[in-house]
Amino acid sequence: MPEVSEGIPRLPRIYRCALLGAVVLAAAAIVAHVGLICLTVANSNVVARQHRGVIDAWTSPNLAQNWELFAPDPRSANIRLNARAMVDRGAGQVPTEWIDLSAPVVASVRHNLVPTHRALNEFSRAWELYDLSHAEGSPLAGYAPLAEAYMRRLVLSRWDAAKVPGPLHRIQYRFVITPIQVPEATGLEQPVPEIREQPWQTLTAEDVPAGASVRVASGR
Amino acid sequence: MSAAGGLLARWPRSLSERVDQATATPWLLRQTAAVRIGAAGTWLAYLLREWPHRGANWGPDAPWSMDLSGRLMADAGAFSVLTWSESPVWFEICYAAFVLSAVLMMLGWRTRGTSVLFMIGVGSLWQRSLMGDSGDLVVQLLAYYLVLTRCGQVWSLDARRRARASGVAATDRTAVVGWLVSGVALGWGTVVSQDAYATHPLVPGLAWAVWLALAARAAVGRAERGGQARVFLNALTNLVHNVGVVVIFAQVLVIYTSAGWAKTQGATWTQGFAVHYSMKLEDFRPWPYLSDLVASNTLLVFVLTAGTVALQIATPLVLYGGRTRNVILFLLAGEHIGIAILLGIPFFSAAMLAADAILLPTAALVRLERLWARHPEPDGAQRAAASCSRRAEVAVAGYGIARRDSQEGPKARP
Repeated sequence: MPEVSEGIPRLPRIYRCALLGAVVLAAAAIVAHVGLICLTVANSNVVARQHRGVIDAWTSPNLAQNWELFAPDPRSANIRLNARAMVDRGAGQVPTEWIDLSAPVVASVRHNLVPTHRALNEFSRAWELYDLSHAEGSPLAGYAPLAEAYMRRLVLSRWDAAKVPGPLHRIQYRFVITPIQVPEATGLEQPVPEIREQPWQTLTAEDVPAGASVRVASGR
Repeated sequence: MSAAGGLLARWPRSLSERVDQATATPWLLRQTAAVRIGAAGTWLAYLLREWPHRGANWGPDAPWSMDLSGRLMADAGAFSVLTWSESPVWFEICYAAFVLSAVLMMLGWRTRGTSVLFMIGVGSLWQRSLMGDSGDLVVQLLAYYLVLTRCGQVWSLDARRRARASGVAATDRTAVVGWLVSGVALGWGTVVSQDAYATHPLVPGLAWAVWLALAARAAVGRAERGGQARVFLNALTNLVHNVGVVVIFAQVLVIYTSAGWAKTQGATWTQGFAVHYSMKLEDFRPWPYLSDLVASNTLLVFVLTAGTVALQIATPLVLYGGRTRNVILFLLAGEHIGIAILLGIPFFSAAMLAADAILLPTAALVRLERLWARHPEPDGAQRAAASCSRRAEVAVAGYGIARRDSQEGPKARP
C-alpha cells in the first residue's frame, strides 16, 4: 500500500499531540456532519425543529439531501402541459387550438435506453415549483411569479412556430391531470381526471428563450 | 496510586494506538478509486448524453433563464461559475471544461487538483438548473467527499506516473504551473462570487484548503530537513482521507435507509402496489409492453414493492460484512440495473452503483486488480496505444505522417 506513514511513532511529542488533536477534530466533524444529514432526512422531530437553522445552513445549498424518489408515494397521475395562444387572423385575434406540449417529450422517452434529463425533469420540475408556489398558504408563495415566468418560457421554448405561424399576443396554459387507474385488488375508488386551466398571460420579449423560433407580438 | 498510574499508563498507549489507526494508512483505497471512476464516468456519460441539449438545459437557451436561476440562487446562497457571464462563449468554455475535468477525474490525472475542478463543475450545473434529480445529487455529494480522499492513489494515471518515476525527485513543472494557474483562477473566482461565498464558504473553503495543502506538501518534499514534517503531513492527509471514506460510507447508508424509511410512510408502499404507479408514469415507461406486463401482475408488483422497501431499510446490514454484505450488494446492483432499464433512468442507477462501490469487499477488488495486472497490456490494448500515439503524431505533424500512418497501421485514420 503506498504512502504508509511508518514514521509516526518516532515523531516528536509536539507532532504527536497535534495529530491527536486532529484525530479528535476529525471524529467530531464526522459525528457533526453525519448527525446533521440524518436530521435533514428524518421526519420532523423535536431536535430538528429546534435546530432547523443550523441544519439548513449546513446542508443547503451544497450538501442537499433528497432521497424521496417515488416516496412517500409515487406520483399517482400523469400530468401534461397544454397551451394555446392569441394570434392574428384576419382583422382580429383568435385563440389557437390547445396544443399538447408534453406529447413530443413523452414520445422521445419511448424505446429509449437513455432518455435525456430534459425529457424526464424539465416540465415535472416546472410543475412542482408552480404547484407548490400556487398552493394556498404556501411558504413558497413568493416564488409564484418565478414559476409563472418559467412556465411561460417553457411553453415558448416548446412552441412550434412552423405549425402556428404569426406572432403570439397572449398565451394560456393548462395542466391536464390524468390519474393512474388504481389496481382493482386495492378496492380503492378510481380517481377522476382533472384539467387545471390557468389565466391568460401577456408576453414580453423576456419570455422568449434564446434560440426559440417563436415571436411575440408585444416584444419590443 | 498504582491504580492511577495504571490508568495513566494505559490511556496514552491506547490513545496513541487510536491515532496510529486513524493516520498511519489511508483506508479503502481501492474502494475510493472505484467511487471516483464510477462517479466521474457517470458524469462524463451524462454530459455527453446531454450535449445536444446543453444550451437548453443550462445555457443561454434555457427556459429556466439566468435571471430566474439567479434569483433562486441568491436566496439559497448558491454559486455556479455559469452565472459569471451570460455570454454563450463562456458557457461553451465551461461545458468543455466540465467534460475535461470528468475525463481527467476518471483517469486519475493530478487527482487532487482535478477533484476540485470536478466538484466545481458538478455543483455549477446543479445550481444553474432545476432539472437535477437524485442521481445528480449523488454525484455532487460524492464530488465533495472525494476532494477529501486520496482517491488517485491506485487505479490512476497518478499511480502509474509515481511507479515509473525514479528515486530522484525532479522539479514537477506541471504541478508548479497548475498550482500557479489555479491560484490565480481561485483568487479571481473568490472575488467574483464573494456574495455567495460569504454565506456558504464550503466550496471556496475546500478549494483553498487543497491549494494550500498541495503547496505545503511540495514544500516539505523539497526541504532537506523535511523528514518529520513530511511524515506529519502524510499522517494528516491520511486522516482527512479516512474522514472522507467514513462520510461516503455513512452517506450511502443514509441514502438507502432514508429512502426506505420515507416509503414506509406512504400508503401505496405499505399496501404493496406503489410499483404499479411507477410502471404507469408515462415519463418512466420507455418500454410500455414490459411495464404493463409488470403492472398487470399483482403478486409481482407486491414482491417488488415490499422487496424494495425491505432491501433499502436492510442496507446497513452490510456492516456485518461477509456473506450478508455480498447478498445485499448483489441485490442492490440487481435493483439498480433493473430500474435503469425498466424506468429509463440509467444515469441515476449508475450514480448509485458508483456510490455503492464504497461498500465493496477489498478481497474482490484485489482479485480484480490481479486479473488486470496479469494482462496489463493485452495485444489489443498495445495496438490501440500504439495507434493512439501515431494519431497524436498525425495531429501534430499533419498530413505527411497521416499517409505513412495509413500505410503502416492496421487501422488507418479516416
